[in-house]
Amino acid sequence: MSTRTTSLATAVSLRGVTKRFAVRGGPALTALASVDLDVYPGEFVSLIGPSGCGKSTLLRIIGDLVPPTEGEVTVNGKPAHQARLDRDYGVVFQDPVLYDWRTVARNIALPLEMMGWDRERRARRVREMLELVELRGFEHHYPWQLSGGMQQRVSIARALSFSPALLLMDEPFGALDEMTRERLNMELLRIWERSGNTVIFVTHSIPEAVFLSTRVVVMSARPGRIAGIVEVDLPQPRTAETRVQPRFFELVTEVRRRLRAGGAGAAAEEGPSEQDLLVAGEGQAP
Amino acid sequence: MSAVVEPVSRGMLRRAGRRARHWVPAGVVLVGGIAAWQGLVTALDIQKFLLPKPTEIVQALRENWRFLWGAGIATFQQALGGFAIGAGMGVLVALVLARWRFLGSALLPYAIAANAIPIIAFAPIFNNWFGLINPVSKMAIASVICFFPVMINALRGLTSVHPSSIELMRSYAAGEGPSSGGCGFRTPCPTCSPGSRWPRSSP
Repeated sequence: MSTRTTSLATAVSLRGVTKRFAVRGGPALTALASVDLDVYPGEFVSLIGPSGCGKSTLLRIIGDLVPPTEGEVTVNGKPAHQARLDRDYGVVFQDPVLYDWRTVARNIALPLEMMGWDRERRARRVREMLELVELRGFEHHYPWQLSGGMQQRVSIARALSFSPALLLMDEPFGALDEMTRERLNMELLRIWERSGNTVIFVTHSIPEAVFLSTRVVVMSARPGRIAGIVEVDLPQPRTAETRVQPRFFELVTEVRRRLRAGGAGAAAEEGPSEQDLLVAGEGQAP
Repeated sequence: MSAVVEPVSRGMLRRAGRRARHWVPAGVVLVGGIAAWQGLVTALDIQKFLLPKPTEIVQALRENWRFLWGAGIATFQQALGGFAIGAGMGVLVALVLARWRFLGSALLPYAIAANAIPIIAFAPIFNNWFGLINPVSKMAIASVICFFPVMINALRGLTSVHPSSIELMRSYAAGEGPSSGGCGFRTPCPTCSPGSRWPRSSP
């Protein structure tokens, strides 16, 4: 799990990050155990692992949405807390979290309003964002009038509206059908190429991780550790062709092998409830 | 000659027609219901003081409209005043309970118990407090009726905010830290608004 030995400033740096949750009437549950990771500017890094391995928790720790129990988190060269106060990152959740009473345009403008941008500047940026996520003509629609994929595009536009250097994504396409997911994968890559953002992307889909990423961070079952990092050397830009290249399948196999070695067993595919039970059972054993 | 106006008027007509069709079923029930009422009361020869005919009601309204209008206005004012007081208090208490959850577990049982007291038990007390003919005593009763459902529904709205929604606001550094500017005040607005189901479920 060696990371690059460059002197480049990191976009995100984790040192010994550990997270324990208090459990009523039992020993504390260790969700993450001393995670070290460096992410460099412009990278697209996926976090993949079985359900309950703490990959979403790790993403929230990077965003200072939950505090780590131990360890150090640096985002853009400053403590994660300061980075959050400075709004250095945008976040996209599995649920688009749009406000039903705001139109698409006003949902995208929400962070801009909170940052005190004036009306004209907001309108200009919203137009650019609608263009970017190909939702022009839908600015006056309400979220419930859009499909799931379109809603998630609004959520991405909102996350990017204030041009943060870092984009945190927590299974953003997990609730979408396969065809929509593949189309949004392509769109996300296009946006990433154009914006030059650093992306940290949580997923439980192996092909999605390999297709999107420059590196795939494979995590082990609870307590979550980094079980291995797979460098994805597929040529850029990725296209529909990428998915049928032999190298693509080799990398998918490699990620799957590391997941299995990390204790994910055959359940590396989706199946959260089953996996949760399995992990919970193991947690009580020691 | 009419060719110039026609495209507009035809569209308007069609829209008006669609709207009219929407109200037709309700209108039929209204007219049919009143006709049935009139017919049944006449056919069964029901006494006036048990159930008057619609025609007799209209006639009484026409004869006493001055008196009824004045009384109606007074009732309306008292109901509106009571609603404003009750709903305002309900929202205020809900905001406090949502912000400090431990207060909820301390106070909610009593709020629920108080809600079970029949309104008729309150009425004489309020009359003693504010005076029998004082409109405030009527408003107080109305506000007690309004308070509980508004408070419970507002509280439900305020506490059912999606966790991701709170995380999103946190990611915008809302309401904390020196760089948050005016967000501390604005942030609650979007998170409050789920509580805007209030009026619908209030009496």
